[in-house]
Amino acid sequence: MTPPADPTSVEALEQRLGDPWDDANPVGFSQVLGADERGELLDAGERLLDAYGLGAEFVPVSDGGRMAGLDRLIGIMRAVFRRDPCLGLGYGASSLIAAVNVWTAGSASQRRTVADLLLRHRKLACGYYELAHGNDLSRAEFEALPAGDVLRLSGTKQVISNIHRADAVVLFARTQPGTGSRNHSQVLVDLTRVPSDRVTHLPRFRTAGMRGVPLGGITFQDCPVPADGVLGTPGQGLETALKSFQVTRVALPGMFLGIVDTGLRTTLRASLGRTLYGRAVADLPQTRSVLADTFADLLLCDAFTTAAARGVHLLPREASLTTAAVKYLVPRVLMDAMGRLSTVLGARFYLRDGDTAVFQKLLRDLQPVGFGHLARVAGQMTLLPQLPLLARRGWANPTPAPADLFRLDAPLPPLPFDKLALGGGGQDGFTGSLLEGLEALSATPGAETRELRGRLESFARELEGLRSEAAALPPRELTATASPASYDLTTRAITLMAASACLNVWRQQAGDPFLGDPAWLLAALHRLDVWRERAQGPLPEGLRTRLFTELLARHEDARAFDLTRKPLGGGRPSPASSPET
Amino acid sequence: MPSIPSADALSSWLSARIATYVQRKPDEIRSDVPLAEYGLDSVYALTLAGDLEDHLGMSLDPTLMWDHPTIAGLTQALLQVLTSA
Repeated sequence: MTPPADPTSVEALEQRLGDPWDDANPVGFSQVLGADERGELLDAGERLLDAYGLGAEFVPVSDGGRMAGLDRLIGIMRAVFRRDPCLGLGYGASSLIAAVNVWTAGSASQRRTVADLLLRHRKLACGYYELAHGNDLSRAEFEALPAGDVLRLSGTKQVISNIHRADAVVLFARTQPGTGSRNHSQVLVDLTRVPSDRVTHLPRFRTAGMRGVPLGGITFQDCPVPADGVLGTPGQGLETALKSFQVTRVALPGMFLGIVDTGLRTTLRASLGRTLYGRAVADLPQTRSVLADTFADLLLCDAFTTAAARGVHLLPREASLTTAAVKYLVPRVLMDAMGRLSTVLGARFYLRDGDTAVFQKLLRDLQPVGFGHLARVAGQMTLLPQLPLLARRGWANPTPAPADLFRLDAPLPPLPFDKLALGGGGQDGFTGSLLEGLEALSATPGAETRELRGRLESFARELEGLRSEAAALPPRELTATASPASYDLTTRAITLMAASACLNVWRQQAGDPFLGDPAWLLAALHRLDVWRERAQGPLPEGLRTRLFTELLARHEDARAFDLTRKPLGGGRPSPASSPET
Repeated sequence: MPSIPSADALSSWLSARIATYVQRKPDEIRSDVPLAEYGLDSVYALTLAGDLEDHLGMSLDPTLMWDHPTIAGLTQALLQVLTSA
């Protein structure tokens, strides 16, 4: 195989990763599983990612790295997650989560420090979490109180990836006592220079999944560190956190999608290679139905994450809304899809040996997508207080998002960290684009789009009810203590945004033989209707056949099951051995 | 350009608004007490900023509420923004 022209591309990374099913491949599934059984990160995988220079992907181009479009970053990390989620999180994503704070609020010298560290393949840890306070950051107790020209660190941070081997850590700390939202700061601490007698590492946290990721904790006892480690101005911590999350809470679900890609591939491969009731399992209608549903779920999730990720560049003011929406919907869809796939594998989804052994690992490794870094409910809590303003503004006078947001290959400006905002100001370009897209369809009515228009009109009708209910929400219903009915309003708003993403990605792909076909869009909207409990049952037969045919073609051609259809490492698949051999 | 309200008018409007949020009487809301003391957490800044924007006809960064957590402080900060706009 000829190497791709760009050695940093997803294709080049896939070629490095090679054939996952080859037992002789040092980063194949056999080795990945071996490391997981030992509770270690796969050493050969870490060295491969060093050689590829994955750390550079977390450093903006303007700081000497390769971080340009968030969709590119997701694509690269998705390739790592397809192979081994532990490598994805333990080598990569945890450094990214920390670094984004520095790109959002750091000084020139802090940026240089972090860029240099990541470009040298070193690790940056993210010390946000205190088990006692969950996602309630404003109650974080860890202290970094100023004393002269130093800060004195006191307290414990828990479940931190790589803390024992990171060169530096970004800590979320209280920098002054009291109530309010200006009492915390992020502090960049050089771990190679802290006095060792003031620091204690906690024993490793043992977990159900992501077993290879070294999760530790750290306690500082009145430990002095330079005061110039504060990112931004003291007290800016909560603001920086809420802005940084807008990048990571869309990026991580986008990466984790790679797990379900491999889950689907493993299940399809096993179904093709196994005979039951006198025919291949993949020929059973029920199996095909589950596989096609899952493929539709992946396309739905990818359309939503990709549009939201591009939206961070093109509509940064609204990123608080769209990325929170992704964080709520995508993890649930991915986890449900993986659960459904396990029913096709039967007993084999549970086996830790054999040809499908990677599945049980993926099923465990997927779970943090729902709670890791930020909980799904935190996504809803970000949307809740914005509902009344949306009702008064963006939903009353909808304005569409720029079309480039939905064009998969259109170039993007650099990530505008300085334009991220706490709230969207009541604007919602996704919903604006839903109405615009529907209007464009209705302007040229044809038989082939009749069903599509019907589906979309039911989403659009939802907006009116949503708007009046959101406008009537009393202030007490806008915070954590809101009733389930109010939380449900956010779910309804989220499904409208997701429908818009699918519709508009489809509109921009008119020339593509698969993505320009309304079949996948109808399938994605059906899955969304099932998700919001407006429909039930599998895809109608026509859609199921169209999607299954595409799925099979991609499998035989070794291509990704997402919107990108990228070629995978290792080329055409070898058939799965039957469980008896 | 919208007319600039007096400090008293703005302060009373804020007290009334906060009172609605926390379901108390306006005269129970003191202008020198941080709003967090009434149970308003960080996300209320978004609600209050939206209401203020509609009331004053201008756009505001919600972090203004974080920087000025009392009604008295916020009133002064808002008047400053209004006069320099």
